[in-house]
Amino acid sequence: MILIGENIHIISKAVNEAVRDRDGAPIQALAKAQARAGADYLDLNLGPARKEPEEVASWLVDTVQAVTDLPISLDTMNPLAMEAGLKLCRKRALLNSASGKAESKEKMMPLAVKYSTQVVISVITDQGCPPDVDSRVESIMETVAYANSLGIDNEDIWVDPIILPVSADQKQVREALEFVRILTDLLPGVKSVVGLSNVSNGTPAPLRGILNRTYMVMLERNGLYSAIADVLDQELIDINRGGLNDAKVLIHRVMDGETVDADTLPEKEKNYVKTARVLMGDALYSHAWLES
Amino acid sequence: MEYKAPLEKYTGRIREITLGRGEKSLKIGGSSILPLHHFEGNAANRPVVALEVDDNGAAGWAGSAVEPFKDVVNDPVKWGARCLKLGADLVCLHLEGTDPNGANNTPAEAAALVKRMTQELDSPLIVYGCGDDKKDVEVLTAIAEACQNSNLLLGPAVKENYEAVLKAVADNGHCIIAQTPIDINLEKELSVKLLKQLPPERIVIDPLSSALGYGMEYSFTIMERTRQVGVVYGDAAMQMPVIADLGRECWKTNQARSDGEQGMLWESITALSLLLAGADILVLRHPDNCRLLKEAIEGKI
Repeated sequence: MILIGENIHIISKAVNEAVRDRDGAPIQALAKAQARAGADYLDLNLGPARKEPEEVASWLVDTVQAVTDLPISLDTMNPLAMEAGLKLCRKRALLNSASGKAESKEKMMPLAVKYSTQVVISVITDQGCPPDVDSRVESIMETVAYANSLGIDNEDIWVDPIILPVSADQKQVREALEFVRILTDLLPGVKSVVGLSNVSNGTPAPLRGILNRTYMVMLERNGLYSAIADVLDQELIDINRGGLNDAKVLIHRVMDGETVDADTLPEKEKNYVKTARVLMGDALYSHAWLES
Repeated sequence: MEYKAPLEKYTGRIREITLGRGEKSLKIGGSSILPLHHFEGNAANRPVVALEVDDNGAAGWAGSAVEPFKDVVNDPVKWGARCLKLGADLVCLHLEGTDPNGANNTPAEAAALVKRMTQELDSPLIVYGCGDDKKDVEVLTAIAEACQNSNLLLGPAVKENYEAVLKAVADNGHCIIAQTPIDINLEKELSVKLLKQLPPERIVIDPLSSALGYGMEYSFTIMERTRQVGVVYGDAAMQMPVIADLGRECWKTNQARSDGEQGMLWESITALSLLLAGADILVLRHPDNCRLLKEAIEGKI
């Protein structure tokens, strides 16, 4: 799976301060660490970039490109910041992201054409995030058709089903999983991408990794092409390189509805089975899901 | 050919909990069906109704709720006896008087009161602390020790203090009220933690009860899901009876305060709703509503 490093994110306090002070060192350290860890792209998340959008985006892209050749996924809702950053990207960038919102269609999608980027298109519309598979399908068909009409090919579109936290809405976890499974039948040629760590948002920090990793295995089995993820999680990288096969097989068995006797398994495998059950909605989520 | 209505078969069963000792004891829960679905099978024990007693002279209570008890509000023992005489299955004591921001009664005073009530009342006793999580630990520990083996239902154990409350309850042979703020995931988390040290037969879940118009539908949904997850999906961490401590919530609404008749409606409608949602213990304030709910539970209305 293609991994997009998530760690340069404006919500992170260190990143936020570095951007504010135009202090390149912490950003470059994060860029290098993610490149070393094996990221295929680096996500540069500027959020809404209300203050000096163009200056901030240009500075950030230059700062990162000074230490790595990795292609950039430029992640902001602000079209001014997006354009300023895309102008400077040396490799073909990933515009992250457009959606079915009227404003996005009008201001973001044309930038993908103008700068010949690949583009993340999410299922979000002006009505919000569609609540189930059918409404996600309806939304994405409409939005991708619009992108096609602008001249963006399916091959350059990375569809984002929008992952919601398991701690907030357990049912949505499975809806997104099913959406990924049917996506390429609906829209041949499109790729898919998720904000993986969102599944564990709201879960206590030490427990987030196993949720992310288990969900990655499940999504990959359903055909997921790429994930914006915590590439500094070594076990996640190991899994992506073919490791932890026993755990993977067990997760697949849980997905298939097989009865797996978790109690007879080694601790690590047992935890992956319990996590898969929670993500499949077979067991009610609580922060203590590994303890029961 | 004879028609036979199709029936769902469930895998789970709510644990049966015994409160109190000997002749005074009462069994709660034990159901393997959805609430009031008596056509589905065996409910084991029907829901019970408790009436609330306060150790603070009914301070802050709406007038209509005090009326049936106005001559006994300063004596919780007599008040409790009146509750039973007026039809309550058991008594629920709220220790508002221990609130550090109020009368600030000591743990020893509270323990002496509870001990007297266990000796003189012919019913098991539910005891709620004032809700200050630090003071509750002191008060509930003192009560648990003073009333060793009376098998009280003690709480609330909350996220902030459950370890200490659990210890007091476990060491002294009582049952615990696990309280979480209207959130099914937090509810399960607390259950999982408590179950590590206490058998499920000694735990009652309190998902918090909101009054009609003040979020009752949230409480309804949580109670409904709790029962579904426990009975239909067989989740062992959710197979405990549910307590709906709703009287106090209803009688503090503006509607109940401004008009006694409205108070009666607020309490009865909230109680009937949460009964449908799956509550096993309903805690009310007014004896007329206690009678009404008991009739509903027995299928007479």
